[in-house]
Amino acid sequence: MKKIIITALFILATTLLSAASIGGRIVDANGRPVAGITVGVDKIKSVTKTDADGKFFFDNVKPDYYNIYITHPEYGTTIQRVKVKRNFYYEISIDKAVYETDPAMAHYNGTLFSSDLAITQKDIQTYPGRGYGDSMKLLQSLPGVGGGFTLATVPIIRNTDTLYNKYYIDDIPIDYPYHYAAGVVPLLSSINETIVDSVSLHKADAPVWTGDHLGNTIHITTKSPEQTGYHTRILLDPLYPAMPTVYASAVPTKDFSVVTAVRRSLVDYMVDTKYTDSYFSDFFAKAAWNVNIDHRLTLMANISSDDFTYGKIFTKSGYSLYALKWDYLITEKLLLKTAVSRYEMSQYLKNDKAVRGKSGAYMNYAPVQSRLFQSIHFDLSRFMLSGGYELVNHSEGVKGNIDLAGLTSGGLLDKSSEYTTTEFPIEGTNISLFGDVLADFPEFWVEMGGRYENNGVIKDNLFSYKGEAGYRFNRIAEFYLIHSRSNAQPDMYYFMQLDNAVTSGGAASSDSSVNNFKAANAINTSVGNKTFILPSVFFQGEIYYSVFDNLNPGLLISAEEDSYRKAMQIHPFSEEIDGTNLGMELYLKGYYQRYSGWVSYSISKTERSNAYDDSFESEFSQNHIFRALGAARWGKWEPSLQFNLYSSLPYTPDGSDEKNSDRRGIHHRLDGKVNWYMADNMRMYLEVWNMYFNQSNLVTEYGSSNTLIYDAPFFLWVGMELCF
Amino acid sequence: MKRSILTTLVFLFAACSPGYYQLQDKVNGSTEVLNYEYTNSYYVSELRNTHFTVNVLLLEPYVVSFPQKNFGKVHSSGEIDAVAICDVSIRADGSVENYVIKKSAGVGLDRYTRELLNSMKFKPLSYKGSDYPSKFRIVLHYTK
Repeated sequence: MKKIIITALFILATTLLSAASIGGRIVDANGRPVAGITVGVDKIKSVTKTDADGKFFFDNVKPDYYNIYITHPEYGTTIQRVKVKRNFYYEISIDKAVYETDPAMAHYNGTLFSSDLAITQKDIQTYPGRGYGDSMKLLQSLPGVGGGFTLATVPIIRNTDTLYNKYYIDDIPIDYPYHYAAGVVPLLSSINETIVDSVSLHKADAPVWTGDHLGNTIHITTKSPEQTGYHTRILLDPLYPAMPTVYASAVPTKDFSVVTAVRRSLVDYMVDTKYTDSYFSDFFAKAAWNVNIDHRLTLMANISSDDFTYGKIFTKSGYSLYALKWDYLITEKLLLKTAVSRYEMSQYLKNDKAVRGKSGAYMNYAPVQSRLFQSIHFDLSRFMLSGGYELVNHSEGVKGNIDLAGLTSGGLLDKSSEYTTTEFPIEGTNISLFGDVLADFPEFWVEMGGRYENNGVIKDNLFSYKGEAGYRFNRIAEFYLIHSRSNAQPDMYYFMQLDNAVTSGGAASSDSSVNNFKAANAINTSVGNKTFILPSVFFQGEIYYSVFDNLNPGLLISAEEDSYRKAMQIHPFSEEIDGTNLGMELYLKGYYQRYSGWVSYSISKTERSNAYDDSFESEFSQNHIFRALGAARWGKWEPSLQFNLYSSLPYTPDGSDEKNSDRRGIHHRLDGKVNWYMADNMRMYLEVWNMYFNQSNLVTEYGSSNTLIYDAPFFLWVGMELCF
Repeated sequence: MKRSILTTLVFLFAACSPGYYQLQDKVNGSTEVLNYEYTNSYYVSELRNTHFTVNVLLLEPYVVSFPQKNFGKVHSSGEIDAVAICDVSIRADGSVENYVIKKSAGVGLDRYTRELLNSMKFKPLSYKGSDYPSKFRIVLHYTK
């Protein structure tokens, strides 16, 4: 009897505890009740409909967590997770549903894939390689693109000096969109992920409207708003260099849109140090206005700056770019493009410590490029004609109170240099004319273009050209042959060696060969194939051969240590002058259901010569580069992996006749990333680098230094993205 | 022993309140059928799941045909990059009823936007076996 009573009491208590319910009221955006909405509760598998007052009710539910499904064809499906303790009642507002999907890509060439080799913002989000905020790191996964070490950010394209890469932001040229540590070590790109729509790569086949490169150009297409109204994204990278990005887009009218992104490192605010201080910041804004159906004006500003202070030593580097673009469709078959831009690059170094009674050494490098560009494109059915001109006026230059020789040998730092006046302008106007004819037939195409440039800075006439012929097979495969010649005019580091440099305390360089400066040039030939093996699987294979001349007129900065050469990436340590490249690249990209990824492999051989050695391997050479990337999506989770295998860079000891071909090692490592899409407006990610790696030393025991250089060890960080 | 068995049976019987084994289907009026099936334990779980899924699952519309055309040759040559945002009303048969361009691509591309939208086909929104009209926002990204 006693047991029965206890059992009855237990049952009573259980029943009472279980007597929970879920109820609520559904209203529309105006607060009016909505009748006839289906409401379901997952664990009890029960459904009901809202009554005339928009109310629903479920009784006899257990205290627990439930997913409540609110469904109606007009309003879509809303799922809410609730915790029911006893009687749960709430009111929910729903809007009429507008269904969406990923942006539909309308390629002008009528194919599903872009004709360019590119990475997209989605790729940067999905795959490891974004690093600590570097949106262009992933370029190194494309075929023919090397990178020196885990944190290397500047892409080495087909074993050529990175100084010859030319960047374009929405068709506006820019030399080096990177942030620097201490003014000299590129750490991350100044184009942050939120504004990147895609970054495409031309390898030895840059279009003739571009100039100042050896055929390799990197084109950054910035994001246009893909949502109406006003939206904000905040991207948080909590680890160094704690650098939140705030992105905002606005589409106030159908013909006007604005995107803007601001990023700044916060370490200097968070950590108060006595002797060191530094920050990076960048800003981007783009406003596009469709004046009418055929005219579009785009105003763009991109400002990057970094400061680094160590005691009395101070460096400041960065650039500012302002551009106004006007695109005008004159008729359906005639397009006019116009762009006006101003680009100023700045490198400022100063040692404030007074020496021998003087106020301190400084060097300020701030050349300005003002550019006017116009091109016209004429559709003649099977033929496409395009042509135009480009005027680039160079002004300003270099000023300092120490001689360049002192600067390059470290005189600024140890104050050993003689105080003098160094001042030389970088002046002149480059006038370029270019034209291109494309004959495009269903089964084949032929394109020929040329560019003539009167370079007022180096006082030389330059001619470049590009010819391309191809055959299409059933619109799923094409075979092509490209032959081109490109010229690269001197950039900021080369300018410092010009013979028009006016120095009163020393030569601009110790190498007299700079007095006969000529532009570098490359003659590139490649044959290849692009094939859609399946509608969702794309293959590209290419064999190329390049011949280079006048690659480098002389050394500006000496660096015996490979670690310096490695870290500085784009600085002119290389002494290579003439040479050749021969290589093959394979690329396979595709997706299947929830899986996506690509594989690239490059094999190459470089030969270089200089005044000391008539045959050595370029120090930018990586004979084998293999990358494999894969990602999968399971609900809210998106894991991805990137496997890298490549030859280490054979850095060349300057001024030495030592060959370096036996100093390469195969380096391989595995990086990973997991995206967790917590909600529609929130993403968290974990990125892990060097999960597995072998031979972390890139170069070992060369010459007499026996230097062992280590790559970065295993490391990881967590980031978060919030959208509003 | 008998008492223990009896106690257990009483407990189990009482603990199983009707709310947990009867499906309160207030949508289709098929409560009886489902309750009958509930008595056949082999089908209970599957039927409950099916019934629930049918009622709450809404198959969203999507693009089934997006004609890729060779168009905008001057835009291709000029490497014009542009984005258009459009709200499309889809009929129950998946055809486009009308559309509103919320953000224009500019540079004469709107004519291609209209052309593309008019030739697009959608899988209509589907709910409980029937197709319904719906609204769809499509972003068209013009690129080389």
